Amino acid sequence: MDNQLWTDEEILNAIRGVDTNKCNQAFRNLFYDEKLQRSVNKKIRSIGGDEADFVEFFHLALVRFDEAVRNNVYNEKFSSIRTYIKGVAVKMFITRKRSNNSLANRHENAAIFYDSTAVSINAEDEMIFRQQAELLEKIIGGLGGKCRELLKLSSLNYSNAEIANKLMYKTANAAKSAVYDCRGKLRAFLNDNPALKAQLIGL
Amino acid sequence: MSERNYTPDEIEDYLEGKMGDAEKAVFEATITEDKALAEMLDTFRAEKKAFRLLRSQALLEQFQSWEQEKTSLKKSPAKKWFNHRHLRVLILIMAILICGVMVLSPWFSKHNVTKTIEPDKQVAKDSLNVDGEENEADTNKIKENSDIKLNKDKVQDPKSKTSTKTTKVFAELADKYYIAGGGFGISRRNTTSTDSSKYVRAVIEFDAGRLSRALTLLQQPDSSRLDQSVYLRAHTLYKLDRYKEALTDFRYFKQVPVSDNKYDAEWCEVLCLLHLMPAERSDLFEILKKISANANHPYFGKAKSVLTDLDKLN
Repeated sequence: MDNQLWTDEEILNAIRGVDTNKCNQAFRNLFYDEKLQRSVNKKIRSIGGDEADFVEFFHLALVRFDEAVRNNVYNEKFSSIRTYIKGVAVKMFITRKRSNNSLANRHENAAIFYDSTAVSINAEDEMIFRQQAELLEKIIGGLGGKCRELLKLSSLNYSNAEIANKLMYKTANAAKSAVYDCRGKLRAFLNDNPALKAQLIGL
Repeated sequence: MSERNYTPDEIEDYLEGKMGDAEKAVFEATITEDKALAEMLDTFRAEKKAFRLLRSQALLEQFQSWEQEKTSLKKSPAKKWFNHRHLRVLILIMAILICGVMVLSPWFSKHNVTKTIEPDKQVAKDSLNVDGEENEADTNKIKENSDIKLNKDKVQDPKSKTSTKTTKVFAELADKYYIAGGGFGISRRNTTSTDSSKYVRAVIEFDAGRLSRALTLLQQPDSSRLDQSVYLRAHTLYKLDRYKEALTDFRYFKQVPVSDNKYDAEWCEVLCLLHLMPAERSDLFEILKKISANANHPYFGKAKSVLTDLDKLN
């Protein structure tokens, strides 16, 4: 593993680019950034969290960061990537605590501090990932294991050639048509289940 | 407004903000009128959200697998420590042990042999494995010993220069009276060309100058040629400058009831004692007087000459 830390620019280019390997490396670099981990861990512990909380919210913060970059919500002018991730993790943890019990009031100051670092957290953070996973299971579960894998790789921006290589398709075109078919199935399923479709749109 | 069929790619372009402003306006106007298109747009929107959830879930799975990787690395610090530090310490200890063995083995070997072969007639016989059993430890010990070229001067008297000088004189005297191949040739005469016994192989090795190999073979002799083996071993030890051991073998062989080499063995005993001078002075003079007193002894003349030479030295 490359232990050298990537710059913010390198990370953003990798996540925004089409090279899935590079994107994966960028996340690996962030994931194994000891300074970032220590900083998030220390902050979450200081506001009542433990090791498990740190692990969970550190992962969620990385996912949120990925979404923010893809949706052009993240703005590097306002905060560095590591500050953003730390802020997101702390904010999400406080939100969770607040929803579980009202103890988080004591840490309001911390939340205010991180609001000022242009961390964009909206109401959807209130929805726990577990619930999202359940919803996803309802939708994707009916499509079969092969489709699930195809769509997962497609969502991670894998190219058709990479998908063919990973899932043992003979050619990239074969993988492309398989993805196309699965997407068709997914849309058909959503049309047949308007309640689930509405739930998804509401996210 | 004219109705138009939008392709999935165009709908995706709209959702991703890739549509031009004019086209976008037309598209949005169409949605308000075309319920099917609006429905399709919702479906695509839901699909996009599903993809987002899938990606998040895939990333979380990825992070969890990295976390496990990290945890497993943390959980096995002993293994990591073993790989780096412990291994180094182990190598260092092994190196020290090997050096220690290399330095001390000659010393141990020397002392073990001295202890094993006592100047007793029976010992020579006992030290041979008569039953023909392989005695690896003994073989190795002897091999090690024979491979180490002993420094005659150092072994006999390393402390005194005068003593070293004297020892050298006695050694020269022994060389002068050495029976080159003498009695030993008689023993060899009994061997046949088809004979592949250990004794014959030892003779071949001895002739070729591979003394340590010969000695190894003679440590496990054929029981039918025990006496000859002792005699050959005595010569081998003599040539390897291991005079004390050779002396023990010659003394044993001298006692063998029926032997062609009885007198040769006795003379070789004299030569060994000369090499062991001045420590074995009394034994040497005793045997020389005995030989010189017997006019029928084949080495009668030589014994007289040695006595004369020794007188001159004194």
